[in-house]
Amino acid sequence: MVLIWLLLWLMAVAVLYGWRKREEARQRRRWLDRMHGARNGTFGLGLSLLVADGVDEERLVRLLGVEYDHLEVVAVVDGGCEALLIERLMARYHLIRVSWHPSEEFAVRGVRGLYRSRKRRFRRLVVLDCRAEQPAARLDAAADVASYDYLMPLVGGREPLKGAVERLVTELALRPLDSVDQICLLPTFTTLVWRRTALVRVGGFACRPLSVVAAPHRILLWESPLRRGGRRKVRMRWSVVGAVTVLLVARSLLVGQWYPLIVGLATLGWLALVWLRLRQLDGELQPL
Amino acid sequence: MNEWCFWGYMMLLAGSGVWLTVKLVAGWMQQRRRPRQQLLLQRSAGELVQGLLEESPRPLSVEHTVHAQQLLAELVASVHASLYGCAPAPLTRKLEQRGVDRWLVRQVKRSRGLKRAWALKLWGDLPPMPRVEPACEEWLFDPSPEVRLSALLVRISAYPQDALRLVASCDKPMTLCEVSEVLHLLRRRLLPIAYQPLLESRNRNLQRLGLLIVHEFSIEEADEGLLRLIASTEDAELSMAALYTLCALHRPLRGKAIRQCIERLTAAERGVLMRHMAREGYAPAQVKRLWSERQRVRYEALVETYKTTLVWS
Repeated sequence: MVLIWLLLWLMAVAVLYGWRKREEARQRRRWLDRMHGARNGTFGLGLSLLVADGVDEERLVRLLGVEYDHLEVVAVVDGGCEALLIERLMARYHLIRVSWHPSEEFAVRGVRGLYRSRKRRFRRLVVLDCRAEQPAARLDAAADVASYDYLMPLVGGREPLKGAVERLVTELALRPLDSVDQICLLPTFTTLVWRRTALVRVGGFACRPLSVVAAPHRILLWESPLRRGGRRKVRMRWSVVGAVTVLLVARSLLVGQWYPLIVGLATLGWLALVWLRLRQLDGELQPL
Repeated sequence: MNEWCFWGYMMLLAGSGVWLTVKLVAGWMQQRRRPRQQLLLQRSAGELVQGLLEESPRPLSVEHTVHAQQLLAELVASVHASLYGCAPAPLTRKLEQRGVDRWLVRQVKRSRGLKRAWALKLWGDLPPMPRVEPACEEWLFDPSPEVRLSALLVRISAYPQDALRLVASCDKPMTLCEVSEVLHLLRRRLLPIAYQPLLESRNRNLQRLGLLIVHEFSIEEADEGLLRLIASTEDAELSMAALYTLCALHRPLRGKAIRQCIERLTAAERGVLMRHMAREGYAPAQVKRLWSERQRVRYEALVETYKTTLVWS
């Protein structure tokens, strides 16, 4: 019985802590939105968005619409299956075919061609025709040709929210230069941004990042800057907590104990309030 | 024991539940008001600009809504950021008429942490308000770095002539974001900023500010100052920043100082620099003396990925 109370207390304290951190993240977002450096392009910190799957024209239009000057979108497309897509992108963005040389930093295979948009800087589009099947291999291929030092992988249809790129770059600029290797999202522990040299050091996207990047070189965020990012995992966690609580309530109903019943119902109601508040905070973030 | 645990747990849920409900209701009400507030802000921006052009103040739509002072402060801050060379007095009068200055001071004093930093940052973005003294000394030493930065910006905004003294007196090296916010403020106040004394200064923060000015305004005549910083071995980070600034200006990368600076880099740092130079468009012939033979081959391969091959048949 003591163990159950201990678990309940720990669960409540953990959820309250997470909620508190989320509220602080909201305050931080409001403060970061008042910073001018990213909007003025003063930082000069470049970010490459690596799109390894789900490449289509509408998505590229949204990504290229991010109003940050030193941004690049690297899209990996399998020309064997989507040759028409590459042709349409070449026509729309006036891409030129350039030479591709493998660097020694990532193990990349199956590259058929590399295309770059003609804009020299400022929101450039790069399209890589690559045959790789695994998402990690596609990301490695994209990282290999990315021009900037900071890389943001976008898999599973994820996209940055409005203002998210500017906020991430401001977070980088608030630390000493070259001191940040990774930006992670809590509590899902998703890596949002990699520094190129750190990614090379750990061996590419197939690695297990948290086990290799030292804590002082990592920024941890509590608010996701991505749309459709890790929601499935978070929903699963909430479902597990909710299911356990429902089971406890059902059990106490069956055996006629009123203590667990009240505790279970109160916990369910309280978790619902927390969930509603977190959804409300998510609702403040706008998509691109 | 069971009862103590039970009642303690229920008190925790009840207390946090009440607080959550208050936040939920406040958030829901704010969500309902937001579309109308956005509309009022857009309309009021036009009314404010029209009033400034005609030099006749007029009442704004946003003054008669909930949270009028906050909305008015945000509106004036955004309009003020878009104006160059205009006297700020009409905007200041508008703020003082609605008591926004006193509201801001109350917000700063009542809040903590990031809320205080946000209120201070908003204060720094507004035109100077002489009725309230930006007595930020206590906040300049706040434990939160965000509050310290915002308080510094308020101080510089009110007394731009003290900007360089305040920057020099910061005990820790300023980050890129902090220096760029200071530069943004100095540009808004149209202070003439001579970059040479900043680059020649012994103070690291002033040197950083000088580098950012050179980068921002693409001052190509700053070569000598940049080379002097590159040659200096006291601060490796500053030397690298000077080198990157030189690359951003597309200046010739010649000289012993640059070669020695590159020799001090690790292999990873050289790779980053190489990529930066290729992106900036330096041809292999322009930088061949900076690299070893192997590095030259690598650099050429990198530059090739930015060029298309023309085949004449």
